[in-house]
Amino acid sequence: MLFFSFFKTLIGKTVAVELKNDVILTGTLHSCDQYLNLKLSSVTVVNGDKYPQLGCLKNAFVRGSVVRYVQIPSGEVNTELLEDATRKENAPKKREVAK
Amino acid sequence: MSLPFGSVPGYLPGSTSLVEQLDRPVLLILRDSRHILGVLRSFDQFCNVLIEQSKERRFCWTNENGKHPVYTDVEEGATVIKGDQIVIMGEVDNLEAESMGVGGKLKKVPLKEFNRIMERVDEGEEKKRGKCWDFDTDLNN
Repeated sequence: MLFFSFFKTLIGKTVAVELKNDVILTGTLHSCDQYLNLKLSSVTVVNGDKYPQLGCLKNAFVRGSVVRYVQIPSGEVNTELLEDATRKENAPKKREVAK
Repeated sequence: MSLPFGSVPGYLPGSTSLVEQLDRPVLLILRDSRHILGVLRSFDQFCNVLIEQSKERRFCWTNENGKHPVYTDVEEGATVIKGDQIVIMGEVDNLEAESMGVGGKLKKVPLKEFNRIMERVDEGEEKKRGKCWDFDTDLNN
């Protein structure tokens, strides 16, 4: 759930999504879900002449399972917040003591 | 009919984004590099979709007959596509989507002629072009 929340903070920002078949899509992150499926608006393909079929798309829904990388602008990431959230998520859970 | 952004119920896991694509013409790219055009009618939490007026668009990029790369449409009617096979689903302006971003350089041919062209084409060259969409080979590398 951590990265789902992380991506929600990036909605509206421009990201580059590299897929497992080396296609790179650039666009504005419109939405995401718990499977990290992404929806990009104003999408362009980075190597557009090699993959011309995508030129007619207005927006693209990318299934989370085919993503290799998501490249984000470094200025958008609050690393301290991210690290704190990671620590909280991985903190050992307190066990209930039965009376 | 278009839904305002944010009107989707948050408890629908995995499929919140697709509601805005309902009843719109879409282009689906599948794991085996097939391109399907059609109207999105339904979906579920696994991203299985029902596409109406669906057609598979096949490309031939190394056409020696004319200079233009050609394409053909194989009409299929209504199709249910399993979610795990979907790579990209994008909304297009209309179901013909003739240019597909190649600036009108794609020429449409009937299926019989397309098959004839495919028989003569150099398989290695065409595979190189077509291979870039084939996800399933990723597992073998």
